[in-house]
Amino acid sequence: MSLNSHMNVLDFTLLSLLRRKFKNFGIVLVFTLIVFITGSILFLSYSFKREALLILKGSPELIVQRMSAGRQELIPVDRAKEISALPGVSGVEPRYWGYYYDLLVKANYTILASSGSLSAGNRLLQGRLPGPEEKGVAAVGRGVAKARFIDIGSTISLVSSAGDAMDFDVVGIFESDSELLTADLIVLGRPDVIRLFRMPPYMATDLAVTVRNETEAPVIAGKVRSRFPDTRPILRKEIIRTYDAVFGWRSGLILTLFAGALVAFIILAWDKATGLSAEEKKEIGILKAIGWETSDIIEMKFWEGLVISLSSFLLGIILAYVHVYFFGASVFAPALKGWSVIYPDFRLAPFIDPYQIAMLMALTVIPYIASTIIPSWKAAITDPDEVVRG
Amino acid sequence: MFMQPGIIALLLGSGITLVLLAYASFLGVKIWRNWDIGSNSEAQLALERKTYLVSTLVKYGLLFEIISVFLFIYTADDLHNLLVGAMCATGSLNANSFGFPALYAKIAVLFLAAGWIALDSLDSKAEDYPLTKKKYKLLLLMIPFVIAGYVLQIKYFGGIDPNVITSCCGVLFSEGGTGVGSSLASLPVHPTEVVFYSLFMIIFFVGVIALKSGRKLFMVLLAFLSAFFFFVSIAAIVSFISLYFYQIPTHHCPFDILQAGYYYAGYPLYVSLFAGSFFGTMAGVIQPLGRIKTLSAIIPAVQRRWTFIALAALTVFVLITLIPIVFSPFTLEGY
Amino acid sequence: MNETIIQTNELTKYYNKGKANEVLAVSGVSVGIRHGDFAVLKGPSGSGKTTMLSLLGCMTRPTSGSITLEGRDISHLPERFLTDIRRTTYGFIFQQFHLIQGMSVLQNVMLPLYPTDVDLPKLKKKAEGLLEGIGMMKRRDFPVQGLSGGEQQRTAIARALINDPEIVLADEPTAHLDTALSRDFMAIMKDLWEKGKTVIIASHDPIVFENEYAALVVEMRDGAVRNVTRK
Repeated sequence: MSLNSHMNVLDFTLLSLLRRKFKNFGIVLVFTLIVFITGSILFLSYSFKREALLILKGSPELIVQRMSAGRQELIPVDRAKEISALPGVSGVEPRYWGYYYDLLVKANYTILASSGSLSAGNRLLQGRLPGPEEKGVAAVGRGVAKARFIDIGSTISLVSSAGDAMDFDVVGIFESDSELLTADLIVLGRPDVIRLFRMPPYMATDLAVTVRNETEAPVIAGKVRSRFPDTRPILRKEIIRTYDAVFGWRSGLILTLFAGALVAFIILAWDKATGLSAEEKKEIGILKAIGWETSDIIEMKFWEGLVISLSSFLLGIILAYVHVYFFGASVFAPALKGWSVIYPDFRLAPFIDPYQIAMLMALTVIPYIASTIIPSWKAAITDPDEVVRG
Repeated sequence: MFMQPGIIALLLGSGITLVLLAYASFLGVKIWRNWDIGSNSEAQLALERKTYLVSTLVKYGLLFEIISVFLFIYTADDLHNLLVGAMCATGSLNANSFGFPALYAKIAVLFLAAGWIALDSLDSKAEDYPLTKKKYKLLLLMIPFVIAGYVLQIKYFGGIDPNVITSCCGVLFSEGGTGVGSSLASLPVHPTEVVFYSLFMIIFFVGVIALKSGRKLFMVLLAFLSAFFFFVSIAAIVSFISLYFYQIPTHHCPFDILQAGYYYAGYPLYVSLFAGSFFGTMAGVIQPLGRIKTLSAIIPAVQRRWTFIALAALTVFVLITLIPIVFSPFTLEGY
Repeated sequence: MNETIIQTNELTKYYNKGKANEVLAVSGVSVGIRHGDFAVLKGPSGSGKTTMLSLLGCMTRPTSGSITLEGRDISHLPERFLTDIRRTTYGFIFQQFHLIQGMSVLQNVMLPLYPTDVDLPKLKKKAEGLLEGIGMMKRRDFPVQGLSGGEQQRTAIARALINDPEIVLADEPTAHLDTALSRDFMAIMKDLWEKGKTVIIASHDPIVFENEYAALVVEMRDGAVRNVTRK
């Protein structure tokens, strides 16, 4: 047994598969679909992760919160000055934001004060953002807009902590209903945020600190903490970690839900492999009678499984790739609700690596091939004598 | 931690491997207890046919285990984003005490399964299947490693505390961020270089003599040296080979070379190392089997072939390690 | 060339031994077949001649007794080695032809040697040579299901010869042929025999056993040998 015999058996397997192309069509179709779905989920989540990391790259390296009795408190704005005096700090910006419960639609919004760093390079926006000191205007996320049936030019009414209604003209809408980034977001001018939440003067929600050299950030965080022991500095790296975990967790969850389909597929594969047709059984008997050995038949079955699974695998991956990177995962957008940060003009950067391939293999090819082992062996041990006895 | 897609894929893939190999050894026990090569009964014939199933199961098990080892490394690598202070897969694997043992168990399964397949193919060349009972006992030996690999990886992933910021308690910044990865002992560069390359020369020399003379002594010597060379090579990769590939005098990670940024150089590197040390070792391991009458005619030819493969693969391995050393301007002088 | 090529000794074969449907197919058969013999196993259906052919042809192992092939005891060999022997020593022609449907004549002839180390182009040349010799070259690329009975059998014969077998075995080869085709078949067998091959045929057709070159006729009934005549 060396190379020639393996190539010959492969040759015969291909001939056989071609003879029975319609029989294998079903399994190839289902297999391709499985790889397509799994592949789309993985490609999508990994691209999102990268996108989110890209977006986070523009966020401050360090956020300083004040803690009181284990809960986050407003932070005095004047601390910004002291922090900006620390060596290595290039800027400190107080941020004003909070959560708002809308009784009307029973949903939580994130209210955020407009700021210079926010408006810079926000390509998700249709219309414009309120200016930092502007009053009476708002930009809202798609989710909010949908919930309240509003469009640019409408007004949105919120009830302040003091109990009075405040109306805002909507001047911008975040184009997507991304849950992670902008769906529940309302951006107002700073004075409006302060009034809405009745924040005391000279207090901010937290401080965004930019540093000159990110590797210095932990050191600066340490200094901030020793100068103000009641603060909690959060590094951007830690946020990235959180996002990473959340994205992984999300796709993992969907994959788990999808496991049911995978199991069904394995059963199908098993069934297909077990239910050898009488014709195929007879053929294997003939092959054995004319001098094929049990291991040759097992090898033939191995090639068969490999050819079927690899061609379906390739096809599925290519389809998933095209689907995610050229059509913005349009088929899945409803299924993966809350993830569709994808815009018509927004293409995810194609990204594929051996890790994803290995994951997909482990999720699809391995179960398939494994499920064919025993049926193949059963077919292979056909008694050659049976053929003679007819 | 189990909701990461990589971990799900890994648990599924290696779970299937576990089931295959466990079933194989279950069948193995049955065969080994009832085996009687002299009998022409239908029961014996059924057992003979079951041996094909066991061989197939182990072969597929090995194939899947290879994928699972890479997947394990990739997943660990991917996790480094989640872990404070982890710079690459080494750091992730060091996140708790189960990471590296899980990897070692998996690699042990690779070698054991490959070794078993080699014995199996040898056995099937002799008309009386002389190794049958031995090889099914060996199969049982492999199972603890398979289970250990699986359990350790579950413990590893389960034990990872991803340092996620939760709304109740923020995690505090990574104090100092000293790379845990650096705790992997790295040997001094120059002595390691000298040991590594001279050991290769010795192996090559011994291998050539073994090929030419077919003498027992050299075969056994080759086996010991090849096994030893595997560990020396891993140490060498950590100590200096990786540094040349990364061209950073402090980055000792043996896994990053698998990445696109380094032209996937790690794949041929590890494949040639594993194949070379495996066949080199096996060529000597089967020496005692030469005493079995029906195998005595087969063994020498097999040994020559395996020795040849071992020498070729190890030569490729060493050549790959030389590429960045020779062609890049990077130098470790002074480190 | 008169030494024994196959010798059986008290050869016995049970099917489903120990079960309710146990069958004693061959019982205590001892015969010797010589190099270059033209041997016929004769007997009604159910007499055990097909099982005997299976045993002689290494398709199955005996329950007890022994078979020696050129002095080598092969009665205990694992299937893997029996296959090896079949591949190198035997050519088998089945009663039902057993060609693989949907493949061409040429592919069918090449099939037995696929899982060996032979180079496919070389194998193809050899197969074409055999088809040429048997007058089937014009049908080379025909799918086998379109062939007539006689052509199917010729294909089956070419397939049995692809490995240059020393021994050619045929099971009821004339059962599905008319008289003229049966005589053609016997002519081909005679030709092979004259070229030095050992031919063993199981048949109850007089065209097969009543001819002058059938040197050894083993008459079987109920799994046992009734009569052995050697001319």
